[in-house]
Amino acid sequence: MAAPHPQPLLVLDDVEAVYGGSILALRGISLNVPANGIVALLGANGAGKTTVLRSISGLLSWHRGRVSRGRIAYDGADIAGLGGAALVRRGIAQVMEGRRIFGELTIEENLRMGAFTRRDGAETRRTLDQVLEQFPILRERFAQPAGYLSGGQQQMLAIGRAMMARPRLLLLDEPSLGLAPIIVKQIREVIRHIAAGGVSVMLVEQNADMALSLADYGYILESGRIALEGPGPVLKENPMIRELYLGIVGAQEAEIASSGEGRR
Amino acid sequence: MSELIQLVIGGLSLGSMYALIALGFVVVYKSTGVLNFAQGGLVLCGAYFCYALRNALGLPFALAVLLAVLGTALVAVLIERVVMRRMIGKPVFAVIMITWGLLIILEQVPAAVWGYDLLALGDPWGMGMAGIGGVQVLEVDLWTLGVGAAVMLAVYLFFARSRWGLAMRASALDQEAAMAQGVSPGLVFALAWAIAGVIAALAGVMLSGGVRGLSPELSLIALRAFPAIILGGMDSPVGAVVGGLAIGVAEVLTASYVAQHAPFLGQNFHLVMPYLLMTAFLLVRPYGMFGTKAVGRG
Repeated sequence: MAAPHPQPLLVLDDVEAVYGGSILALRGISLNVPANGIVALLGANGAGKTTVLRSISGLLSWHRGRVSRGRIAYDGADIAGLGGAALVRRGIAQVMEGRRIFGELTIEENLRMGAFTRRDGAETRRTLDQVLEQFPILRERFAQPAGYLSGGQQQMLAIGRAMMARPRLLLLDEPSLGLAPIIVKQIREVIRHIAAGGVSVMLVEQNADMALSLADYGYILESGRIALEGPGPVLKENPMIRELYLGIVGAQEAEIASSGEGRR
Repeated sequence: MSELIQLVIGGLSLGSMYALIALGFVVVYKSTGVLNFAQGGLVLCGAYFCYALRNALGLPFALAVLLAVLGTALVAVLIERVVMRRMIGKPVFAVIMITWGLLIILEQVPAAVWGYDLLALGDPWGMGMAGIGGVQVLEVDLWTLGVGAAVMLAVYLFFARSRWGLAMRASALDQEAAMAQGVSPGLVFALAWAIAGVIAALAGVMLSGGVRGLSPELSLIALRAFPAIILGGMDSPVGAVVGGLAIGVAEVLTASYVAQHAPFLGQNFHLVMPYLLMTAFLLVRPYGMFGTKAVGRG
C-alpha cells in the first residue's frame, strides 16, 4: 500500500482491535494521515470507522476494547496504550459522533473543557478568540447552556471545543449526521478552513459525497478491513462507490469487498 | 418570639450539618454513580480521628481537626481505590451492599476501641452561650453554622470556578466526552471521595462538639441526612443544602413543640420527623425538590 504523502503524521500499521476480549472489530487496518490534509474514512454502519477513531484517541478502553495487534504511531512515536490526557496534550482532539456537548454547561464552560489539558492561560485565551471568531454564534450565546443550541450550532460547538485543545490532528466522527444540507455545507467549509490552518483532519462519514469532496485521500472500510482506498476525487468517480455510497444502496457487499481486494 | 429564634438557630445549625453530609453523598453520587451509604461512617471516622488526636496525642484542637479532615479524606480515597474502583460496572445492588458493609465497619472500629460511652471531644466550646440581640444561643451552634456556611461556599466556588470542579461537572454529565477532553475518570472518582471525606469529617467534628459529645450513635445522626437527600433530590447539591436545613429545623421545632403541646407523642418523636417528611416526599415528589426526574443513570 503506497503512502499518500512522504511523512505522515499518523500511521496505523496492521491494527487489530477487539471489544470485550473476543469481538474482533478491526482486522488489520493500515492507513496514513499526512501532516497536512484531510483523510476520509467511509463505510457502512458497523464497519469499524468509530473503532478506528477510538483506537487512536484512547477511548477504546472506555468501551472495554483494546488494540490487540499492530502499531499506532503519531509524530513518529508509538501512542498505543496512552491515556486520553496524554493524547490530547500531544495534539490529538476528537469530535465524537452525536456531538456530545455538555448540555447543562454553558458554551463558555464547554469551550473551557476543550482546553482542559492546557495550562497556558494567555495562549488559551488567544485560541478562544480564534474559535469565537470562527463561530460567531458561540460568542453571541457564550453564557447560555449549550443544550439550548440547535443541532448545527451544537456541532459547531463540538468542533470549537476540540479546537480549544489546539490540536495537530483532529478526528471528526460523522459531523454531518442529522443536519440539514445547508448546515452540512457550512460544516464542510469549517473543516476546509481548519485544514487550511495546518491541522490534519481525519473525517469519518457516512455522507460520502461531502467527505470525498473534501478529502485528499479516502479509505473505505468493510467489516473491519480496508476494502478500497485512493485519492478523494478518484474514489468519488469509482462506479462502486457511486452506487453504494452516493446513489442507491445495493446489497452487493461481497462484490465491493472483492473489488477492494482486487485493487490491492 | 425569642424562643422561636433560638429554636430556628439551633435547627439551622443541626440542619447545616445534615446539609454537609448530604452534600458529600450527592458529590459522590453525581461523580461516580455510587449510592454511598458509608458517608455516615466517614462522619464517625472524622470525629474519632479528631478525638484521638486531641486526647491521646494532646494536639491543639484546630490542628487535630485539620489532621482529622486530611485523615478522613485519605480513608475515603482508599475506599474508592481499593474497593469501589473494582465495583465499576457491577450491579447497583451489589455496590449499595458494599457501601453498607463499609458503614458497619467504620461504625464498629471506633466502638471496639473507645466503647459506647459519650466522650468529650475536647473542643473549646463546651456549654458556652452567646447572646445576640437578647437571644441566647449555644456557642457551638454558631460555630457549626459558620463552618457549615464556609464549607458550602467553598464547595460552591470549587464547582463553579475551578478547573477540576468544571471537569467533575462535565464528567457527571458525560464521562466519555469528558475523557475525550483529557479528564481522567479515575482522578474524578478519587477527588469526589476526597471531597466527601473532608465534608464528612468537618460535620462529624461539629456534630460531636460542645454539649453534644461523641459516641458511635453519631452515625444515627448522620443517617438522618438521608431524608435530607430525598427531600432535596439525590443529584442536586442545592437540594442537599435546602433539604438538610429543612430537616434540621423541622426536627428541632418538633422536639420543642411536641414536648410542650403534645407530650403523648413521646420524647423522641422529633427523631421520627425527618423520616415522616421523607416518606411524604417520596409519595408526592419522588425525585425531590431539586432533583432530576429520572434519577437512574442507565
